[in-house]
Amino acid sequence: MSEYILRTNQLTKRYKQTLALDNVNLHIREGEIYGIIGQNGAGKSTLLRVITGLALPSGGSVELFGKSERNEWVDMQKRIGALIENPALFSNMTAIENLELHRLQRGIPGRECIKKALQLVDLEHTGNKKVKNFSLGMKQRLGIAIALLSDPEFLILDEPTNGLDPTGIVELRQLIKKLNREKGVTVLISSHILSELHQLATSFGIIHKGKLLEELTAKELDEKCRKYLQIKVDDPKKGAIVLEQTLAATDFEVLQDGTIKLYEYLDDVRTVSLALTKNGLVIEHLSHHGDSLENYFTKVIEEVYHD
Amino acid sequence: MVFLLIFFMISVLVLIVQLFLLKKELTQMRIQLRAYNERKTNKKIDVTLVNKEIEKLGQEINNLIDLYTAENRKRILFEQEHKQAIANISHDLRTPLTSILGYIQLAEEEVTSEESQELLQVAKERAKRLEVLLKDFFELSIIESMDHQLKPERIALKKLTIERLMDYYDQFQEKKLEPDIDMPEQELYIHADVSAVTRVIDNLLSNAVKHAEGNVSVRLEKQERYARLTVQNDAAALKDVDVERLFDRFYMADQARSGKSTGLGLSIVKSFMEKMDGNITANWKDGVLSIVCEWSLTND
Repeated sequence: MSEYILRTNQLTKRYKQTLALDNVNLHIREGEIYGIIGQNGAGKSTLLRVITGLALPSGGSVELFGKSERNEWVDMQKRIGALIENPALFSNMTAIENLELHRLQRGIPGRECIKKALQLVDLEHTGNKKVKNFSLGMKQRLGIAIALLSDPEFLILDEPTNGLDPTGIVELRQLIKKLNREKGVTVLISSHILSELHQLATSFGIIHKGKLLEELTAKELDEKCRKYLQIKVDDPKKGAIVLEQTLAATDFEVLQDGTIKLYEYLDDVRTVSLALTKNGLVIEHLSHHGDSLENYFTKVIEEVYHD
Repeated sequence: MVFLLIFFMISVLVLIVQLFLLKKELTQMRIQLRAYNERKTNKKIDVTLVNKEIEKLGQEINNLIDLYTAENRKRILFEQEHKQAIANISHDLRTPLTSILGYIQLAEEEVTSEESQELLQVAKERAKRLEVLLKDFFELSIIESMDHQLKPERIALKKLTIERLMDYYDQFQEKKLEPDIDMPEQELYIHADVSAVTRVIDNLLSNAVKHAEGNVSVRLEKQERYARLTVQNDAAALKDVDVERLFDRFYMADQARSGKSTGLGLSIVKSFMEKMDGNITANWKDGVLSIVCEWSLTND
């Protein structure tokens, strides 16, 4: 099986004059929870619509499960469970009837899957209540149940927390984590709330004005967002001792190449540099690194915006 | 009589159609199951839901798939956690070790008695050995952990191999080895991660330098759609059983574990080759050890 569940190549979508997607090269690996972050109107939904075949691309290609041929691609769609924008629900039916309809349409054997899907989203006790009497959050959860009905390998959720209350958001996050962990489901999830994705995703794509500005793993993001002093001295071993003895620092790391990352004394570079020099070390490099999550996000967007 | 005949004919026709549909349904299920068994998909099977029994059969098959997935996930998670733990441990060990080496260095400057100096020297050597071991161990665990992602690009393999050989020139000289080098006329292009390929070549060369007793040969050639790199050295002391275990972690033919090597070099090579979808094999024949690496050539 291909390592990539989804890959897009120079994907472009044009609506008359506006460029909704501009040469997007997205990479999603098996087992990832991939979060797409972008402001409203950045192109998140368009991207997901094109991926799930709800809209045709104007240029470029989409490769799903390693297949990009149009006819194979339709087959691959069956392996996906998706919730894009508002779920398609029949308001005169109950939750169970709605799911039964989807079950028949997709040919999923056995009605057990309906019960399971409802349990997962905590809707099993809605009984004869018609969907039109559901709250926004309940409808959203029913939409997620529909996406989960066929036990998909790849789950695509477009702003799934819309309309959910705080408990619902936490439960959804736990559900996604559970599916990813226990069933190995790959997840693509979009949101405009950074902190919401931050606690969930293992990889991120930052999208702005139709352009995918950056792809990075959660680890890379954390590294970029953890504040530290990067120190390079001529003798890292002695450097480590000076930090321990003179400055009583405990929270630091020595990297493979001898660079020291110091997570303390962030506001007191002077003391650090003085201590190192006093002990006869030559400082080759000393600088601040790291940003807050929001700052980093804004920075990435602004950098491109200025060009 | 005629009605009866017509009724009979229609019944037969209906049965034939039903039989035909049933067969088609079974074929569809078989095709889906086969795709699953060949690991081409993880999708559960779907059916047209016309026949109740077929539907139940489909459901049972899907239950079986669930069971398999659950067991498989457990195993994968366990392996991942295990590898991650090792990566974390070797990472966490490095910072204190760096301090230890620093303190030894300081102590060397302070201590004047010759006896203590000797003791410090021993401590330093051991700590340095630990450093080397940890570095290799860390590298191997990182390669095998999920975090490590290769960045494939187009590589001129002949150029890279020659570059690496040049770097090892001094080490060959030191051991008075004259490697027998055989390069193809044309350049061979592969699609792989540069640092990974470099590490593979380096480890093979340093392994050959360490263990060769006289002859070393390095050959790069084109074999159909593969670029094949063969590194050979004489290793009379080796046994067949050693060759089988050559790529195992910490396996060293010389059990004394006295030398500078960690026994991880070839494990790293193997891990990298697997990550790059390449092939690696080792042969030992007439006292000569050959390690063969193959990468797919790029199409152009």
